[in-house]
Amino acid sequence: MTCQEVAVFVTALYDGENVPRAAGEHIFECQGCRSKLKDYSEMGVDLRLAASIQVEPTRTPTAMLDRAGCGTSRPWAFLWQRMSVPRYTVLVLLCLLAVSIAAIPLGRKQSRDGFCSVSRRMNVERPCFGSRPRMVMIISKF
Amino acid sequence: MEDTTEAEQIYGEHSSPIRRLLRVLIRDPAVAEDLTQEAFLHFWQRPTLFDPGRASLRAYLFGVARKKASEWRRRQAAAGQTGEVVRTVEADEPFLITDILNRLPCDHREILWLREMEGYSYQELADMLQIPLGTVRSRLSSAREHMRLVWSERKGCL
Repeated sequence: MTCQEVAVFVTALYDGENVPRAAGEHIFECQGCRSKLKDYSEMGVDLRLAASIQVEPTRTPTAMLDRAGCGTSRPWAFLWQRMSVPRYTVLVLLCLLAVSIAAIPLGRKQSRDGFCSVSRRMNVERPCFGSRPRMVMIISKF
Repeated sequence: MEDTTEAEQIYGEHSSPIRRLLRVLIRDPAVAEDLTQEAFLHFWQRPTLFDPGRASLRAYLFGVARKKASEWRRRQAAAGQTGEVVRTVEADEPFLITDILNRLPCDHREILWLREMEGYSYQELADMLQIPLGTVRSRLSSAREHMRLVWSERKGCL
């Protein structure tokens, strides 16, 4: 085997992986490949040494969670953030619900007026105080 | 992640490796810091996406961080920037080895860091980077050889 052919196995050997016998024999005998192994080892040590200088976190997780609305101080915001359905669809649905609730008394008033006009057309003398007694009166007329 | 104490514990345990990987990938400490926060927020906001049966929490967070880094690079590319911070490479690196590492292509930097610093096996690297095992071998080999050539050259100049 040539140095180029075993290049992949030099790395694998350095990383503690198993290599084919032929590749191992070449690396054992070849000065160039052994020199590569030595260099890889030195580079690895240098890298770990450089990385051992820790970078201190600049933000605490609590502050981050609060910033994102996930903190315990704002549970509603956390729920809002976690909502898996589209948030604005929910908002629109809530608005529609509120509008329809607000419209119920208005609808009742209109329906009362409607019954009154019916009772007028049918010459019912009793004034309109509520829907149910009116209904009874109308039915009893027939 | 409703328990803040648990969040603090997870952050304390995993934030440094995530931040260091992002610094290697992005080469801009400020952006790396922001992306670290984003990666943790992603996890805290959607903790159910993590499946302990598939990978360790550290590996999952590395995956999220890599995704954040790719998204950032895409945004930079769309904005007409290179996504690589030359200023940092030229000036701020006190160590020869990390300076050389920063000059390697992104996929080489990433695999070297994950192997050398995090000690992931070839199979774990293949799973994490979603590449075949043979590609892990060849990519690691070419990354190390690339780094060794520059390292020998630079050491000779000192």
